[in-house]
Amino acid sequence: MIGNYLKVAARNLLKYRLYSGINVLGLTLGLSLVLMILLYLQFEYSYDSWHAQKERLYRVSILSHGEDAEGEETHVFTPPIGPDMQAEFPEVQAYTRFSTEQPAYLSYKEEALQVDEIHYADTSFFTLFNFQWLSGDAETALARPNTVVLTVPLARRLFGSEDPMGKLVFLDNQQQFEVTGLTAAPPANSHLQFEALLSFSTLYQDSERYMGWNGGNQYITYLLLAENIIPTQLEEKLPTFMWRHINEDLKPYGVQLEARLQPLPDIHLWHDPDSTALRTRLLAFGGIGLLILIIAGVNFVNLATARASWRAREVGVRKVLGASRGALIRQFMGEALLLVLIATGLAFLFTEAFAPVYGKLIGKTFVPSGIFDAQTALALIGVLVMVSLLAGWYPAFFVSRLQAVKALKGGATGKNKQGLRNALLVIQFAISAGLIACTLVIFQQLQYTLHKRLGFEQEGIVVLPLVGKEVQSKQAALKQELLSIQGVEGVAALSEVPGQGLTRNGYIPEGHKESLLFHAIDVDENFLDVFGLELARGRFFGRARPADEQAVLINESLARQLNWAEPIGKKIIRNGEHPVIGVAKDFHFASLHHSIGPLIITQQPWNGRYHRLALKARTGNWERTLSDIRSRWEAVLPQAPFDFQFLDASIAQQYENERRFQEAFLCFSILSILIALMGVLGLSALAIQQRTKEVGIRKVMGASAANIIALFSKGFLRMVGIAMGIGFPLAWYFMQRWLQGYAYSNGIDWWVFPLAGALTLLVAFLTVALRAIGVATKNPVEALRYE
Amino acid sequence: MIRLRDIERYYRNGLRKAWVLNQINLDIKEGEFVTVMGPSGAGKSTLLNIIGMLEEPSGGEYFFFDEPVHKFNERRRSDLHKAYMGFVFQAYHLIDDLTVYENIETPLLYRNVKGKERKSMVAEILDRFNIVAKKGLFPEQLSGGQQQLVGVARAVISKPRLLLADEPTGNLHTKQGDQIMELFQELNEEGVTIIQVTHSERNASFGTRVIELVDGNVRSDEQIRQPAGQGDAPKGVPNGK
Ligand SMILES: Nc1ncnc2c1ncn2[C@@H]1O[C@H](COP(=O)(O)OP(=O)(O)OP(=O)(O)O)[C@@H](O)[C@H]1O
Ligand SMILES: [Mg+2]
Repeated sequence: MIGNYLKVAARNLLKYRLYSGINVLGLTLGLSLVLMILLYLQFEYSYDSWHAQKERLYRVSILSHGEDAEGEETHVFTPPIGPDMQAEFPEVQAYTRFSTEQPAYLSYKEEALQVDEIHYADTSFFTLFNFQWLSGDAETALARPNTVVLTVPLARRLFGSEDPMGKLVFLDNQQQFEVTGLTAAPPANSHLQFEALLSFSTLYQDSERYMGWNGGNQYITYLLLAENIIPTQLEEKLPTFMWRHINEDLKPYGVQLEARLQPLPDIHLWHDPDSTALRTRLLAFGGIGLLILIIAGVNFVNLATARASWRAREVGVRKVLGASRGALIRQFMGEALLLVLIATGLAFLFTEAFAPVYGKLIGKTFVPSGIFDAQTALALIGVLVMVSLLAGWYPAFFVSRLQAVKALKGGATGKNKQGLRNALLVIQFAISAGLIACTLVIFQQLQYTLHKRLGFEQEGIVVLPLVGKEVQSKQAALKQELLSIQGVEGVAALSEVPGQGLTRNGYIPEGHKESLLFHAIDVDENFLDVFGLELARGRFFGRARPADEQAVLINESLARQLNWAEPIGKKIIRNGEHPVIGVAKDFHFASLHHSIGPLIITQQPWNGRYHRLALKARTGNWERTLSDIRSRWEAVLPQAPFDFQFLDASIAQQYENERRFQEAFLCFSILSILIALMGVLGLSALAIQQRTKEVGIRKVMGASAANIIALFSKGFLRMVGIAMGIGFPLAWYFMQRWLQGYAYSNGIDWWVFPLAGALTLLVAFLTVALRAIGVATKNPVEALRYE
Repeated sequence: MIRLRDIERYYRNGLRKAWVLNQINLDIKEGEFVTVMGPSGAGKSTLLNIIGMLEEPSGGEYFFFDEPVHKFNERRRSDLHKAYMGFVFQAYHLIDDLTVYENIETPLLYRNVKGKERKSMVAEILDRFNIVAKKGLFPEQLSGGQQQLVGVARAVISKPRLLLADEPTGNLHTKQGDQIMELFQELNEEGVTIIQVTHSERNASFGTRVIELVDGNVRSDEQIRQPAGQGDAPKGVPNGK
């Protein structure tokens, strides 16, 4: 029996190639996209889940409660909190600290490399976390001061084919470190990333470092709780702990710190700076995956039912020959299952083949076989069972209920079922129309963010990072050299580059008792000119005015926040008094996700050293200018590797994720629209096939080709109209919510929906009309002969 | 075998009922070869479909081997249909996507006949109908007469005790028609009860009884010959349950 079904199914597949082609292809495409989306979701959800003790590992985060209501939550804090917790709470079995990264140079013999991800870490790091250890003793590698563990890629770059173990490397040409271990590079789905780890004990030998409770916030602390500890119970004891160690001292400043525990597996999705955007993205991708599944499923069901009524006669005959309803249902289910299986097989091959391209598109590296992990496989099986049931059940049920006699007369293309098919089509079109509209809005917002005036110059500015004390101390000489290059209009030294966010510090403004958090940037007197900033009042730092050393400027937002009508002359306190000498007009020093915050501009960098040079040049030949810059750099700093970034490029870089997201969304929505159209194409083909005779008769009676095309298109186009009525409001609602994630947006442009509507109509019309034209222009006699 | 009492069938046409069959009373014994004749639209096909349990009457009683079919649900009716009946159509109604062999085999599949037995039964019938050479062909590759031969072969493969045929020769020319009729006669002699609808006097002459239907009423009913196996024990015990 099953053999017979399969035979019929296979013959049917071959005989109705257009139909089965559309059906299999549409489903394959749909399933591939769903697989790829699963792959991506799985990747994001797998972060840090591969640590054996992940259930017991927590990151300490600090929430500051101050005068300005809720402060920001940060996990970067002072060094002693970990050791003190371990000493005082039996619940805390172990801790490890990890310093925030500061790019540095590592050198070995002649080779000097800039290492971006270089951190100090406690020796317990490798017993708490399960990074792949390749050489050395994981437990003691970072115990002694001046030891370093390297990842293999870095070791290879630094040492070539030499064995790095036991060798000495220089950090910023000053300190010597012994290589005591080698690990593999951390996997992509780890929120902890490093290229080199220096022993934390080294820090305690540096008298310049402040390692106490109050200050030097550069360290992230992870805790390993003892077994069977409920974290909230420990959290309850933390307020008194914090009071004893720091909050009592902070009381006069009106700031209180609250310590919290963040479960390791939650960090990526909930506690990263990008988490909110990430979750939006996951939601969007999951949503579009679901929509694609619906579209592909609806296609499948629609085509199957359309075909099934086409096969009503066969069903009638089978009934007369003794087929029970069960047998017929099994037959149709079987055929659906066969198609689904073929499509699934193809989808897997397709996904395997396209995983690398896809990975590039969304900026991840995937192992395609990752699809085969238990969780994903289970989800997939669920999906397939659903599709088969859905696709097989309806036609099977519908057709098997036909009365044999009616079926044989061929009058079985019931109207009610047409209604359901139309309803499904409307759903499909609604999804497509909605997706088109969403894509347009996302596109529009990205264009807006990329082209919005930020309030400062981005073009023609080259940023040179100054890494390490040695390089930083030669800043003035380097600046002098660079100014002599032709086309260079100005060079400014600064602590951080505007456009990508600035650090915050606590300050006590005049008239306030408590400290407030303001963003801060430390610059020299050339900053204003190089970045083309404008002043609202007052003046900027003057050249060679030693009195200005303590002076600061503030931005308009800060003046507004403090309600200072005349800020000039007011004082702001942090390590001494700082008179305000000017107010800068607001500019976007962070991404457009954030509204402009309060900002202080000082002339006093931390430790007296600037970390970057920004160079403004007007030149027709960047290649030449850059090579000039490089040769001056090398003249002043022969030891240090040369590196540079264009400011506009690195500002655009922070929208990179969004651009990728937009591209992926665009791809997915185009493909899902394509799948929907394939369904429409299949349906219209079937409808036309069924009405070939009618077309012939109409033409004999004098209908023109245009009449015929109108005959077939009208119904579809009306459905598209209804669909837009459903899809657009939904799209509007979701996009409105999405735009709320931006501090600055244009809202939704008026042209979005008319354009989306026109596009949807056009595409739908073309799909139907192309098919109809074929019939409409055929000789009517031919059409009639086949009946 | 068949007892119809006041069988009626009408279609609703707005508020009015359009009567197709009017209080039909009819008894058919096992072994008869009945021909139903009458003008177009008289309700012949409708009557045949009701007897074949493909259509339900609007009213009246239908006993099949003394079982009250009119009280049965769809499932039991379809079981009865499956166990006792074979059907031949004017338009052949072969399944286009199946070969001759597979078309003939299909009823056995629905009756769960095991593979080996099925093979030998199909082989036997192909042989008997002289269509062995055509077994791998698809319906569209056959002439009308050949297609109807396959249609009959498919109808009798499950050894039905009642063969229903709605204008089986309607699309064939005389010579092909006679061939089918001779086959029917042969089957009838083997004990299969046959009810056929036809417009042809010539075809009617092959049977044992002629019923004339006009406007949904039985106009005449006459026996033209003694049924062959009358009085003998029924032959051709159907397969399955
Ligand atoms: N679905 C229907 N709705 C309304 N009337 C119907 C329907 N099906 C059949 N009829 C009517 O029932 C009557 C009998 O039809 P039937 O097919 O039994 O006639 P017939 O005697 O077999 O005719 P023919 O010799 O042309 O095959 C016809 O008048 C037809 O119009
Ligand atoms: Mg008829």
